[in-house]
Amino acid sequence: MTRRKTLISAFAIVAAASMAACSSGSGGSGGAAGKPQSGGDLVMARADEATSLLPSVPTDNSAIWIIEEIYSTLVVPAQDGSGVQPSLATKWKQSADKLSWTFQLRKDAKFTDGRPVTSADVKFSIEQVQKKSSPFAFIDAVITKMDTPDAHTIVFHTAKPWAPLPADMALFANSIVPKDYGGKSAQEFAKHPIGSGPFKFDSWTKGSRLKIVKNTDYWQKGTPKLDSVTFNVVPDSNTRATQLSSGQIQINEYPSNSSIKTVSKTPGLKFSSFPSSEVDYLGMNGSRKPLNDVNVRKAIRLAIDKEGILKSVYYDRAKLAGPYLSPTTWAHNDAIKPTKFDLKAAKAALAKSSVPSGFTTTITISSGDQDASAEAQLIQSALAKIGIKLKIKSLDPSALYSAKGAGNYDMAFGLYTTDIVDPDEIARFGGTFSGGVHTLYTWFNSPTMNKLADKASSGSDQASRKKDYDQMQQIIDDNVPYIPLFYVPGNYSYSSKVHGFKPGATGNYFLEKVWLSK
Amino acid sequence: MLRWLVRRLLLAVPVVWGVVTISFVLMHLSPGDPARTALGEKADAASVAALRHQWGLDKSLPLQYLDYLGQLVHGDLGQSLYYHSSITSLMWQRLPVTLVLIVFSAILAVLISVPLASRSTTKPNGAAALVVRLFNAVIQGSPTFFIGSMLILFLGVRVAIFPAGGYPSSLGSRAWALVLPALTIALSIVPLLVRGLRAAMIESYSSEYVTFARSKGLGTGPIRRRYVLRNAGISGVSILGIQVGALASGALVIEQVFAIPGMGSMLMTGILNRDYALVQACTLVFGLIVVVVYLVTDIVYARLDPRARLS
Amino acid sequence: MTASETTLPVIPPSAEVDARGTGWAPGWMRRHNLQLWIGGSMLGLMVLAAVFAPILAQHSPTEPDAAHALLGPSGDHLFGTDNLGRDIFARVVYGARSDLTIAVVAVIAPFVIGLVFGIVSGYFGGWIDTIMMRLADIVTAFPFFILVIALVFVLGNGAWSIFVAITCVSWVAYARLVRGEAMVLRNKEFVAACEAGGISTSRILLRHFAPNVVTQAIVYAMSDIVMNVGVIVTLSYFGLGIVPPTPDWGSMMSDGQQFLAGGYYGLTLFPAAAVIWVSLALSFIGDGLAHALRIER
Repeated sequence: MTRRKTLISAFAIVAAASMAACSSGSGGSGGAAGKPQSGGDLVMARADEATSLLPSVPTDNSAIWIIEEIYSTLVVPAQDGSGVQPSLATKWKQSADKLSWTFQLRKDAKFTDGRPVTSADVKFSIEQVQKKSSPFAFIDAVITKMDTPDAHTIVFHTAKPWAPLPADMALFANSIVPKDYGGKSAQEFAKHPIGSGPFKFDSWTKGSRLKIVKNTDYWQKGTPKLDSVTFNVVPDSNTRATQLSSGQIQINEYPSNSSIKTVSKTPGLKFSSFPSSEVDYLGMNGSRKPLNDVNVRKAIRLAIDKEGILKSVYYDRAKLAGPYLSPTTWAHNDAIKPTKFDLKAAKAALAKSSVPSGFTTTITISSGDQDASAEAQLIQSALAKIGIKLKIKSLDPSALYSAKGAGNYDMAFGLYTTDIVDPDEIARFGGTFSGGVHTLYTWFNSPTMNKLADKASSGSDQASRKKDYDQMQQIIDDNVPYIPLFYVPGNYSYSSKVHGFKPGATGNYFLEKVWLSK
Repeated sequence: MLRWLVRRLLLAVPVVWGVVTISFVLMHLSPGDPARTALGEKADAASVAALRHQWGLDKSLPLQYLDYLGQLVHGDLGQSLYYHSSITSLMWQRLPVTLVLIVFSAILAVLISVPLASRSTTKPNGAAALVVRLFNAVIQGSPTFFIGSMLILFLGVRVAIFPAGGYPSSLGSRAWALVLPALTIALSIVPLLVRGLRAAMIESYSSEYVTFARSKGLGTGPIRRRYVLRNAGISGVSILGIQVGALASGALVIEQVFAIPGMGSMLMTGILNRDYALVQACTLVFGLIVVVVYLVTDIVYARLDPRARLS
Repeated sequence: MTASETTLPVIPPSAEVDARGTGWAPGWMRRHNLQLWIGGSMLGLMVLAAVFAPILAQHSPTEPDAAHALLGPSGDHLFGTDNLGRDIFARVVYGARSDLTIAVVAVIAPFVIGLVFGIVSGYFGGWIDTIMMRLADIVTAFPFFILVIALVFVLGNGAWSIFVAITCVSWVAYARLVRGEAMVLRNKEFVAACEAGGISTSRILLRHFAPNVVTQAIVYAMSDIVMNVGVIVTLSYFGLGIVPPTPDWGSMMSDGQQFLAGGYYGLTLFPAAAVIWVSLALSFIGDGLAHALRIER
């Protein structure tokens, strides 16, 4: 997901990394504002348009956040990110041999075309995600077979003992669609999607707005409160900000960091940060000299003034990062602290390296990303002090992707978030060579990391899994393939008429709980 | 006339072909992979390969090019990789928006330029002329995106007369919402239009027939109406016609700033996501618009000015 | 139209882009060609500022200083500071270096290409002319920024790509302009006389054509520089322009925009003023040149 401006004030079209942010709730909008009221149209402005409403297709937040409103999943992440809660499934349990999971479905859930949700629909839905060309095929790859003993029971057989399965089922991609898309082709279905979520698809003017309306038959009675929600596409971040202050919209999905002060000062507007699993990092290509030298990487880590960047670029709306797993997951190793800015130690580390007097290297940033540009310039001036000459190069997001994938870069920023509440996905993505993209494009390859990740995912006891994850974080911290910089919250600016808005785990908006005061 | 028309249309074919070919080559030369872009960085290599195959991106470039041309010949613009839908249907949604925006801008540009030009010709050496000319130079020096965001800031927020961008669904408020973006685009061509109109007006003031009309005792008013404005109108049409490309470029930037769902923003999305077919289709349509506008300009010009024969 | 056909509309002489100065300045200004002087000194000032930037600027244009971010104008920081605490005045004068250099240098190649192409095409006509016109048509039918953006994508960003991209697009205007002039000259008697007198073609083109058609192109070049500044600035807005931390008016303006709502106008308005200043200067120079070279009508 891209929270930043990329090419012309947020053409944040290329969804970097993943999307959904795992958040644990605190703060949130309005609590004491009185009795929830029903009705009203909530208008949200976003940087980019949703790509597709077919759950098995998109990777962009714009699509995901809507998919989560019009479809249901078997389970949902708890708002505080601590685990999963019942949704379409009321009960689930792992078999004694740990090689299968059985889910019981609720009987009162209906699709908006009136048909009941059955296990056959679940089976069909998961099969779509398993298809090779689906971006999240890797999540469901562990499922070898699905049985549907009756209309309300589904059994997943897994290739190996798999603790994260319930968390996997909360992933938006595993949303339940009607079997065979209700007899339509996938493309036809995507135009008028049918789900069993709190909201119903209403209309979509591509490039402009997408409207969803209240599903009056939603199984969770009394919700949603809102009559409808409209998502407007407004690419320019300044325009989004001005629309919010003029009352044209109620929620700005991507406020720029620099607008924090202005928004907080404006009466009737709020700026809130919701904890998210987003970690922003500085990646270094360890397949290139001299970045393959751990002392060089340590020197760079010491020379970066994170506090300064936090202040100038993030306007203090983030936390300095230590270990690579964020504090929103229980696997976070809080024994690892953020590295202190220390030029002397940085010089000492560089002196021990293969290039004691410094070297020249490049950082590649995404064009139009003003925050990345500012951040790169700050790092540039810091590294210059220990003799490292950093050149800044920019590429458009798609080209940057390819360059990183091909190892054709020296240093670059990146960010990652988890899609599921279980730490398994992100521990592998950020720590293993094969579990993602060459350990975040650093070409850091440690067989121990793979072993630890496998061990952790097959164990079912959280305490013992935690030990493995702690060790994984320690290895990354010792070897510095990349530098976790900040734990970044999900920032939203919105009108104080909006109540109950509290984006939760894996980015879900939980719009069924949101209401508008007059 | 008919033969001329047919010849001109035939001439447009290589132009449009060139436009499509150049955009094909440029897009495929740009680093970046639409499949990886669509699947995100977490998808594994096998998924990316599967999608590339599904989209036919694993074929050789010449083969993809021929396939594409074959499609075009059958009137099929292809499928958008990014929007997961047929480009023709997208085009029907987006094209009218941009066309309306361009026409609206053209009208505003004329409404602004004619009085300015005429004001600066009645007393060509007066203070008013100097003011017009300074205005011209300032506008010419200000980048479009800058004018756009200044207009939003002052007329959309500080004095909230207009909405700060957006594209409302009701027709009335939509027209109102288009005023600022159209004004921004219009301003980008006003300097050229004022210059051209002014030159044409001065030329006709000093031309023989105006001198003749004057000697026959015709007043300034009728002269202006009958000869000068008419003459200026003729060159105005041409300048406007030539500027259609500039208007389209303006729309590209301004649709982003004002959040208008036109072809410009779709094209930009296509470029950023390496949606090859979409980019090609958009440049093709832009090229067609330009060619058609030029054609119409020539016809109108010939109608207005008997000296220009359509041979 | 005598020569090869084109899909472009017939351009009435008076509307020929911007090339002919129409001398629209008060008489007192024109009498001593004050426009040239005013424009010249405005541009001269900017060039001097650029050349003496290290002396004029008290602060580094690139070194961040977080403690002094977003300050208003003061004695120490004439134009205030930006979000990273850098001196805006320093950035504007250093920005003049990069922006003016690129804008001016980027005019040279299209000028030369357009001149050669235009003369050859206008003089010989025939298939050379046909090819040129077709090429010109294609470039014209492409939305300008799309071509430039796509080219910069392919070439990567930076000054070199900006040169190439601008050259690919803007030679057409010169070629058209020169071609028109050359076609007029072609039919003049002295050309026939030269040909009859056995003077070599290259000599005719160099000695007689080039000097006669070049004045128009020079005047046009002035407004072309303004357009180039616009292109560079807009490319920076798209994040495809000059690479940071090199100060550049375009990225200053686009980076500064997010602070407008907060009331920090200086970040955007000072570089904008610099762009407009240069544009005014060049517009005066263009008209002044046209006047001096007597091609006004």
